[in-house]
Amino acid sequence: MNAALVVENLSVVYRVAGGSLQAVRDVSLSVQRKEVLGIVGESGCGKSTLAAAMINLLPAGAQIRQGSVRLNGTDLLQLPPAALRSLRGRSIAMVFQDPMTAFNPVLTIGRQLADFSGAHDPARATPDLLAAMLARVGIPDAARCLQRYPHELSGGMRQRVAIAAALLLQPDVLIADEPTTALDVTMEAQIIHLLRDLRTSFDCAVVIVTHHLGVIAELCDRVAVMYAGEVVEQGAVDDIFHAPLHPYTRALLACDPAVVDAASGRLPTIAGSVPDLTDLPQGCPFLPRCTVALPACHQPPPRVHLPEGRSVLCHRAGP
Amino acid sequence: MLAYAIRRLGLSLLILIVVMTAMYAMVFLVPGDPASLALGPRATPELKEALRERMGLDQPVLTQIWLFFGSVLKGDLGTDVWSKRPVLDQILEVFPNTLILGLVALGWALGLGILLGCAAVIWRDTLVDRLLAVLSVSVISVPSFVVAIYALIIFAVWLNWLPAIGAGEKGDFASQVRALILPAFAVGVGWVGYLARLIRASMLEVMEAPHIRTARAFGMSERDIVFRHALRVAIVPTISILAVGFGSILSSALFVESVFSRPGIGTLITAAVEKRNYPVVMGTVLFMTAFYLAIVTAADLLIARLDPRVRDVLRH
Amino acid sequence: MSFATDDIALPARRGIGRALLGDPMGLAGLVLVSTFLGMALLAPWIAPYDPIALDVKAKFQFPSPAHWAGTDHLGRDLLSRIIWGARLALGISITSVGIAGAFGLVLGLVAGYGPRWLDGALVLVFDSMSSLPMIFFALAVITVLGPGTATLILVIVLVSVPAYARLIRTQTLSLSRSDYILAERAMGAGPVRIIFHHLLPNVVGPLVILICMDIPVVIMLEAGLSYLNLGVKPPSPSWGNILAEGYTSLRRAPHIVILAGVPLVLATLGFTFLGEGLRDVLDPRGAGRRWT
Repeated sequence: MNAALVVENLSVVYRVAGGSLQAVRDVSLSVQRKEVLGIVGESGCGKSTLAAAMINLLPAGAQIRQGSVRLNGTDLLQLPPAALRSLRGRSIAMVFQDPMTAFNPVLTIGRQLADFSGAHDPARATPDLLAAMLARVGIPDAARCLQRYPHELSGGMRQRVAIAAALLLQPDVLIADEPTTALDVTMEAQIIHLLRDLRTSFDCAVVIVTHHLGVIAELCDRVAVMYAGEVVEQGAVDDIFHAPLHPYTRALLACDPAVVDAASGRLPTIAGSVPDLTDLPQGCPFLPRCTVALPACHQPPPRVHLPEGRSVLCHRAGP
Repeated sequence: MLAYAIRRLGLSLLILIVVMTAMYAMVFLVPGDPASLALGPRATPELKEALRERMGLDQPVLTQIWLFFGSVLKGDLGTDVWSKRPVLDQILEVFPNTLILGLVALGWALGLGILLGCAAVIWRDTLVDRLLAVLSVSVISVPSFVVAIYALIIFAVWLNWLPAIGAGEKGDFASQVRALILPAFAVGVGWVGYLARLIRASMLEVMEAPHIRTARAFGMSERDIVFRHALRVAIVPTISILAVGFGSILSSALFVESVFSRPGIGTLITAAVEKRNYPVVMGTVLFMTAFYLAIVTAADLLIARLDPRVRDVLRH
Repeated sequence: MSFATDDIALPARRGIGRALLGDPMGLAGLVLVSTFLGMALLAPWIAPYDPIALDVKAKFQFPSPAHWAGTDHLGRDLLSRIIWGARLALGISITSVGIAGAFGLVLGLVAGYGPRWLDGALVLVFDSMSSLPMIFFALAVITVLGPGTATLILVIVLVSVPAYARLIRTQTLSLSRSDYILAERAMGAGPVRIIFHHLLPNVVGPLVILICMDIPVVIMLEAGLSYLNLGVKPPSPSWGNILAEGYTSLRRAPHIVILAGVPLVLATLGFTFLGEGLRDVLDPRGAGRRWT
């Protein structure tokens, strides 16, 4: 067992006007070193909250109801602030969604990278090492780039810098929260290419949060599908893509924009909408939209564990 | 950066020239000339003529303006009609008093304002915060010279702790400081509330920004985040407002100086206005305009130095 | 019919009044302003004495049943002078910001909607005027024209117009580029119709707020200049004049200065609260909210 990051029974709620919003419900997953785990789901399924919880950097108003996030055995959710800070950036690093706002606009790239790595290891904050890292992620003229300000770089460039910053201290775990969502298609392809390339040289565990199945297919070894705050299906990417077990996963995979229904001439969609997370039903949250529902689905579905690390949260699954 | 600086200075100079011309031209748009106005209705034609000559009003308009510009460049802002002393000398004599008053007032208001603004951020949305919001609005609106008068009544007349008049003895630092306390208080009090709210709003906005979240994700200490990252961003709009606000500080200083009979630009110019001493008034206005423009330009350049996005905006 | 700009979506008239009443600060402002407005309008009927009537034998009296606020150095009733002072202060300030507002509106619309060269020239003039602390400019004008009420109003107008015009100009510029206006022009609407029917109703809102916030500043300016004997000429009972006269007899009759300062403070507070309340009501999402 070489699990770098283990999330166990994690539940996160947001206090909102009129109640609490259950963003993450009893989520358990793990990532090994040198493995890329994808977390996929539509907007509002809780994947970004999950990513934030993984470095214990939740916004105000969020509350961790239960669970643990163990990094190399240490529960990040129980650590005092100073210990937590010493791990952030050094053992576990994050790449954020929007490169346009991720950097301080009045400080140079070099200064910010130096601040980020210098917080832990000043020896690694030398201009040479920083420039080398920038070159590694494919930034031309890396030394000049250190003198530049964020607004002088394109979105794709900034995201590369973000990735470089995250890998500076060679963390054990790298979390990328929708790294390509804010980029156009060409840049997205470049970033995916870069991440694939970096996989071979860095042996950290990688978690990629995205709503784009294509990214999962290209980059990930394993994938966890989220719906309404829960992980409804987990397993190897090949297994899940070729033989999805959960009705939601099946419907999701069918929603390929390239596939236009021969009969109706329409794009495939999933009927209905996501449930209100402040007022969840007793049984399976996918019930209203499920095409193969059973009467038993009015009760909470069981988590069925299958061989090779596969698991499904459904009444229909099972031996 | 250099190109930006040159452009900024050029703009300031242009504005200064426009103002100077307007000031000078104003005299000629008015029925009657400054000489007769100054001397009053009982002046004889000979007296008026003599004064007119002394003021240089007997020459053609364009010549006057040309001569005026020329002499300003040479450092001569004209001559006091009554005392015959060079205006510039009079200004330089009293300007330090006003400058010190303005700087001290701004200094203590800024210090207290930052403290209160940070307190409002720490205890945001509590009673302390709301109380501060109301207080700061109220205090802004009270005229500084009214505060000066009340302060004078309480501390100088009734309690007799501090002097009511003057700027202290020359060479006696302690007396100068004592004479500075009440005026600086009166001038600055309107600013404390405003600055507190400004700091509060700036810091709140910055601390919510995504790039601060990035810094936290990399494990930077809260202190480093606040002082090395957040403050650097929040300070930019503050500088801009302070620079423009310095004009308001100078205005307040003008009135407060009168209340305390404190020698300064304020007393100089108000006395000159009363006596229709136009050269002194004009010279002082031009001097203060140039000074104010210098402050604003310096602030703009400082901001460009601190915020690189500003420089590029002007390039395109 | 108005549409939402970036900053402001003007609510229905009824909504404003009710919302204002709900905000304690706005309510306090409304009460104070109404009190002073009432004082100003009803001065000839509610002032117990003639404000400039001398009664030297009764000079320097402290507050008493005969004279609720006492008398000044010439025996004039202080309360009457204060009440008439409200009439003067509000009269001058509302008149001058009204005139300045009208000029600012016109100039701003012209600058924002007219030819570029005109806009450039106007902006240069506005920037020049706001490049010096206004008080100095005011003093220069007073030197040339001589102190007096007319000069005072002129000075206030000159000093206020640049800020108003700039605001209107900014609003006009952003609105005139909006798709809505472009569509109207494509359909053949002439500039007059566009200005009066579409631009004007939408730029007026922020101007009203600015004017309301400006009134206390103007009241202070008038009082300050009168205090320096450069504003309203005595024996007119400007609050500034009363303060100045009381100041000379500070030790003997401190009640003059103390009582004269009170209406000045309350009036400026009242208008400021009202302005803040209006801003919170009319622009809840915009810059106003940031400060609370």
